[in-house]
Amino acid sequence: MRYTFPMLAAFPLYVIITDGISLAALSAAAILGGVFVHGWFTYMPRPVAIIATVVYTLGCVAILTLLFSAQNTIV
Amino acid sequence: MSTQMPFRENERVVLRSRKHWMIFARNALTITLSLLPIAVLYVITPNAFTLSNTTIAYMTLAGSVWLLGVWLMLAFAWTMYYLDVWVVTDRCLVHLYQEGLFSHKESAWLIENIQEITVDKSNFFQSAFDYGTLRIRGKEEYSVEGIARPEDFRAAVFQQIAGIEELTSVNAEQEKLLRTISHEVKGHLTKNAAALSSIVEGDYGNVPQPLRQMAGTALQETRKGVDMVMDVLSSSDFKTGQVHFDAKPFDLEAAVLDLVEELKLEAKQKGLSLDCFVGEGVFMVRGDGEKMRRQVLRNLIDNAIRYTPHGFVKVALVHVDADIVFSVTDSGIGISPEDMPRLFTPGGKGHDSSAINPASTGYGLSVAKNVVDAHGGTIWAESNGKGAGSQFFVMLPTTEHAPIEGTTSNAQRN
Repeated sequence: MRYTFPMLAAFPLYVIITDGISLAALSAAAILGGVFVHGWFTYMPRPVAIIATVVYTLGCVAILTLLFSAQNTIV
Repeated sequence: MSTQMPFRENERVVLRSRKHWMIFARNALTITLSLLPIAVLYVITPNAFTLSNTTIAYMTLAGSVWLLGVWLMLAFAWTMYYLDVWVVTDRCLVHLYQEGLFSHKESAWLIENIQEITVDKSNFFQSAFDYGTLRIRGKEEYSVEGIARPEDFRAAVFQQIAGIEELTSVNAEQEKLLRTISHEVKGHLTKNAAALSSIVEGDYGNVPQPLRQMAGTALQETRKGVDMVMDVLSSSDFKTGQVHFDAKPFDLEAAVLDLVEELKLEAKQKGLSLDCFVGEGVFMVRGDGEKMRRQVLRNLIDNAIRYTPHGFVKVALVHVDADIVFSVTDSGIGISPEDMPRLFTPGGKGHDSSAINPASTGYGLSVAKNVVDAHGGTIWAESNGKGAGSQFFVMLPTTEHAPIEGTTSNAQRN
């Protein structure tokens, strides 16, 4: 019984640390990516904007893959 | 470079420059160095301690979140760097830059207001990689750090300043020449008009009817020539501030009715109807009646007749509150939205006006605007576009509200 409360408190923390971090990271990359891409395509020549978008996306995909694989190991 | 350049029509871009790539490299290096603790941790910890797979996974999780943060900051830094652009045009110095993610800003200085530009390369990297700080002094001082090839940038600005000074000097010379020629031509035309008028009015006794008719036509054409030269001269006078206005009360209604009668024949010859409506009340205005009559009222009615191939020209004079509004409405060629902004500028002609009126100097409406402005009034035009006719309005204060006083030398305009 004396472990119930700490366990209940730890559960959300556990979710935040694992699923939560991954989702927050994915959301941040996507939302900021949207802002970046909008700015690039508005103010930069199209070829530069396309290259920037591809490089940014590839970088995010690589980092998020690493992050998700770490999360899977933990879970 | 921005696809939404703020430059004016016909403005030529001379040089585009942004901060040196070393500036971005320096920022990128600073951001990337923040990964150092994570990298060190990855190298040292597994060797120093025995870690479970879960612990390594947690470290990877934290490291990849850190890495993502660095990646986003690099994207942000590159965006700021790439969108920070300086442009030298033949008229302006423009700075396009980003403030945060959502605010794209533009600052522009007129080239001729720039007095001094100094270049400061204060360390080895700046000398080796050819970038530095530019200090621009005009009405206020502005400095920009890390600009690439600053000497080229300064040379481009100074070249444009020299070009503008030369152009101003040439313009002044041309203005002087135009004024001299116009003055001479006006003298000759006026003498011709006097001679022809004498023939028409019978000062030389009875002359054969065909000769009288021909002299009459020649007189009409000569007067048009005088009007045209007067427009050019008046425009030049307005620029140099040498225009004098009488400040006497005059009856606008009488002037309008008189002009409508005078121009009715011309309208009839073109197959146009020319009607006039005068509202209730007295239409007394203080100012220069002759200039108002010849350079504003006549100009507007005459233009309406010239630029209306068929249909009607309607003239109206009414009171609106404390002002008098004179308007000319026609069913003519109309005014395109592109032509509208240059309508009242010196030499500003409509795109198709030369085809219809080859003798147009483009100074008539500019002079009319200057005269109306000097009387404290407003002149404007409205049109639904090409072929839709047009309306010209002149709003003038009545006698008691008129600002013009005595014989006035008008300030420089345009």
